[in-house]
Amino acid sequence: MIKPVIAMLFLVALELTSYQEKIIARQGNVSFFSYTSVENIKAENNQVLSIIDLENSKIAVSMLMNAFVFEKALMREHFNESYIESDIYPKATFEGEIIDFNPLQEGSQTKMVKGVFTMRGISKELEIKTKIEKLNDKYILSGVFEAVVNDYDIKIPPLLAGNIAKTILVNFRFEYDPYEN
Amino acid sequence: MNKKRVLISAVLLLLSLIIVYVFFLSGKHRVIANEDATIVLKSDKLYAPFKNNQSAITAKYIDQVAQVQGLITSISKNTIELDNIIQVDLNNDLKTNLEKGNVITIKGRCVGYDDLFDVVKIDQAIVLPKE
Repeated sequence: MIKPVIAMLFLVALELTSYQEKIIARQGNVSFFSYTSVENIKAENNQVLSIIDLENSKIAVSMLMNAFVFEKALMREHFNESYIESDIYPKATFEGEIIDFNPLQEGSQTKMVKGVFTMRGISKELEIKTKIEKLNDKYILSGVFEAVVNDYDIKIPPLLAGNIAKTILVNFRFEYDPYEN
Repeated sequence: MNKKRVLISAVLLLLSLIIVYVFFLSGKHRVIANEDATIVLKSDKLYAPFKNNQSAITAKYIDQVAQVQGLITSISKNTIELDNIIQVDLNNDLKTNLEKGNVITIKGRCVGYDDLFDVVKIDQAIVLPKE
């Protein structure tokens, strides 16, 4: 009689600890830059969601393309309507794992994050060097990577081809808090 | 005579450049706080069609100004969650004394649905005063 009770308690405890081992970011920042001789385009999204399971170092990121803010309203319109087609593909996602991540190490560590980035329904394997800072129960992940426009089947009219870089520089910074609900 | 012609064409060219700039390149951003709401709903009514993949309805919601009422279930910096299903990013940091459990009405731009956290997102939002 006692054994199943203990087993149950153990399960409940396990459930509880694993629950607390998740950290989330609700206001993650992702920005991208396109540098050409014709013009520089910058856009920023401050509402990117992310969750990390500290137990297995799995990370998920999800952003709504519609939430990118541009310097000019027209750039935003082109981005959403012509290039990303955000009515058909509203989200970009990343799912992966932080390799050799030590969630207990205070201060800063630099790790590779390996995973799959999906945009416009096209998935690409990415490996991103990421700086991880830990202060008590808060974590900050930041880094830079490059995305090749051609990889995602983004059609740019020949007239504007000179305005948009072939490779887009993507910056990200996420601040995580313990997940409580 | 020739000089006049050059001058006129220069002025015309300048004018057309200005017109092109004003109409095509400068494109003003919307100011959501100044726009009237086109969708007025309780939080669950806004959430349901997104959750149930009713794209015919949700397509009409995206990028619209939504006025939504709900109960605050979490607050952090300038992000408020209503009834655990609507995530609201406010224009400015909170100035009013809002707390968990308060029922409020907000107005902002409907961004879309994110299945990672299972929330409908609204940005550029303001908290409307109580009626």
